Amino acid sequence: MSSAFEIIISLEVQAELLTKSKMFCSCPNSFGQKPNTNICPVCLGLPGSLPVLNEKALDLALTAALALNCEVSSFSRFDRKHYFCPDLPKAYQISQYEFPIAKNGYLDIIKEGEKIRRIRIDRLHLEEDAGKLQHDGSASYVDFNRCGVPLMEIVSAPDLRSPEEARLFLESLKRILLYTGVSDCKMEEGSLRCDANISLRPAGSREFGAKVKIKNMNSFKAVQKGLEYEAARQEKLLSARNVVYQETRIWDGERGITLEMRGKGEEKDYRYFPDPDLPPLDISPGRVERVRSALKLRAGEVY
Amino acid sequence: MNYYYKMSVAEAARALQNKEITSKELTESVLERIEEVEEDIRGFVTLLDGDEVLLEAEKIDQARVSEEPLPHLAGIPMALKDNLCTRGVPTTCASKMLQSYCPPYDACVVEKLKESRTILMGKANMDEFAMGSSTENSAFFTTRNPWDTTRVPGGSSGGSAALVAAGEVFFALGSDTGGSVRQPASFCGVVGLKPTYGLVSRFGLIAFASSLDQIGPLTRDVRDCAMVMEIIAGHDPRDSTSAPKEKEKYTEYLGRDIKGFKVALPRDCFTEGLDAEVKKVVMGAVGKCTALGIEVEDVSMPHMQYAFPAYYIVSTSEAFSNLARYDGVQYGYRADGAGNFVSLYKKTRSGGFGQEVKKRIMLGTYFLSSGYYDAYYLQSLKARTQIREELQKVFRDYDFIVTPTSPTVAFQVGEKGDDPLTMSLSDIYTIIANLAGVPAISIPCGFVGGMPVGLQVMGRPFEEGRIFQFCYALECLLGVRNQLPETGVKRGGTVV
Repeated sequence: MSSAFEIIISLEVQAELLTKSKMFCSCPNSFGQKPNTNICPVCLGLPGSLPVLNEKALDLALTAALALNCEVSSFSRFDRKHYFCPDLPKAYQISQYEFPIAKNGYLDIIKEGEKIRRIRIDRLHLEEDAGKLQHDGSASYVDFNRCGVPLMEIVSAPDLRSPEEARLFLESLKRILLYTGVSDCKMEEGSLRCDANISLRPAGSREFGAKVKIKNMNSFKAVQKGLEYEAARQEKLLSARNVVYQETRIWDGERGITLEMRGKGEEKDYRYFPDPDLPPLDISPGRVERVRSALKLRAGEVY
Repeated sequence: MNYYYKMSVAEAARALQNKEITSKELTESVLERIEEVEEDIRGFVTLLDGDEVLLEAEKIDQARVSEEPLPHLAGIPMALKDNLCTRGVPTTCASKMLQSYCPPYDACVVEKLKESRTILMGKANMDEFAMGSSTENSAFFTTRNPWDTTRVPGGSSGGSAALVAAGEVFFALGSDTGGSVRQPASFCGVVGLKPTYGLVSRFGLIAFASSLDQIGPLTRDVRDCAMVMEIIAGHDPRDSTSAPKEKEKYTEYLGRDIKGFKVALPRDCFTEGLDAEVKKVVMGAVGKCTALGIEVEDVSMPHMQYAFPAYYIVSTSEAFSNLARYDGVQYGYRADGAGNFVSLYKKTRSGGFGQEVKKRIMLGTYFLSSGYYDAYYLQSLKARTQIREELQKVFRDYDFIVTPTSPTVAFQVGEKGDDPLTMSLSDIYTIIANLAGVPAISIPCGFVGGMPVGLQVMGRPFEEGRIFQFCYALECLLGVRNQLPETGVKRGGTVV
């Protein structure tokens, strides 16, 4: 990377929470079972079924929020995010949009021989996982086991300035989530996932360039490699005075390249609205204090 | 042919407990009645096998003979609206989409009715996914009004109301999103209650609009309604919107003095659109209240004008979301010939849903679109808050709000087919209670041209007991209870 451009990266990290049961039903939260054996009417979204929040998931999210120095919201609620996909049985995901559990945190990263860099965290929210699709020739199969597994999404600010910093952020975050018992963070099993937004801008510029979202980076190494590839791709385009389009690309680890995934400029309308089946989250000051006192290690003490 | 089927739930329960009759005799009477009139009424989407139903009745009779303790309503035949999940029994929502769907679990209310050893006779017809006011939107057939089979029974719980009114079951459950229990109760001359939001668990009720839906009983008198509520009300941890309330003995309210109760009459409900004859009957009933020592006063509720748009935005938005899951992947109808996911969705949803359901899904899709959310959905929430506050204000000074249940008596089948707006406007008095979450009941209060007229009583949240207390006294005074039409001899409005 020449010094003509500055790299801007933000990460969207999803961590499966270490609860005993799923987020809205009593199915075990476990990995690696035979397809469609760990399911019930609730996580299958069968007609008439209703979600009930696993309070442990909220406690774990609060733990992470405090460990990441976030402001915990006094009001938070679940919204429905709508899209059609065979692995999403209700055709909406219970997620959080307007009122996440926590906002405005930070995480410090250290590069060898350099001073501490403080990376801001925009938001932290809870959502349910979807199932998995498997394709076999002309047929497609759905495994619903993962439906309703509790996920925590952590979105960083666009404060990361290199693929290496992105990796360091992830490593640091993983340590915190492991030590606080929030998640087991196994990227290979998918219990920690990461999408990255990356854009370039001319050095010294204050405006952001068009950002590209990169998916399918399934290891820390892949995150760094994928972002390095993408940064180089964008630099080549910009240097030749070509345009970088805002789009979602997928990392192909075997070939070591990113590929176009969704159509350029295709904004999805998820039609978020408050989930009428779930009351606002119970985030009382007493509960936050209880979680705080149970929290043994704070983010800054991990090093 | 005996006439046991004409008894009320309370009468039948007493006769069973006194061993004057057996549950088998009671069930046989109902089966004979079904044989006699169901061809004309068409209230059942699914009718359970008579032999198996009788077997269940015999088991209860044996238990009674051997002096086993039995719940109060054990052995009484009933029906369930076909949007209440019944394990192993088809639950179709009167939609092609779920025509073959058999749920693997029972709704909370179904569990409770099974524990009470009531006898399920079958599943009742309805408007598709509970969207409609006449059962004409059923994908299968239209149920007929037992008082005049050329007329609709109302909707969406029209099958439930018609079955109760025709003597085919002793009681039924319906669901009420904007009047879907009360309006058919009114049209069929029976009692129908929409309980306070959160009083009856929605677990296993196939959702139309989650923040408005409540399950409620349809019965032939007020006492029966109170008895059924004693069974189905109560907190359920599987429904996060279920209220953590202690169970109440509603029947204990019956017969208590009602002197000193204050009733509000919203004058906005007695103006344009209300049929003059219906108004006369309702006002006549209200006039009699004063004889009971009840104070009746006019009130103004100006925010009621927002009820209709607010209801339409909230209910269609939630319906868009709740009905998104019917995609042909897991269960239910799946269209043939789809080459990929997108065409599977398009073909399945185009072919599986009826016109009215599609219309409402499209409306909801529009209201929640980015850029329109604030203008529609958010505004409707504000209107909803204002309506709720307006009701709270009235309830500070008054115990009840009384209105007609519907502006007209039951209309002719096909009469409003081309005018969906008029049909929806027949819900105008009932939607307020859903928007505000308050309880509301419809009780028969007289007839216009041989067709029943319903009176609606709204009360404060969780004051169902006082509603029963008031309506029981009113029912005694009006002398309109447990009236069955002479179905079977009357067809097309004339005696044949």
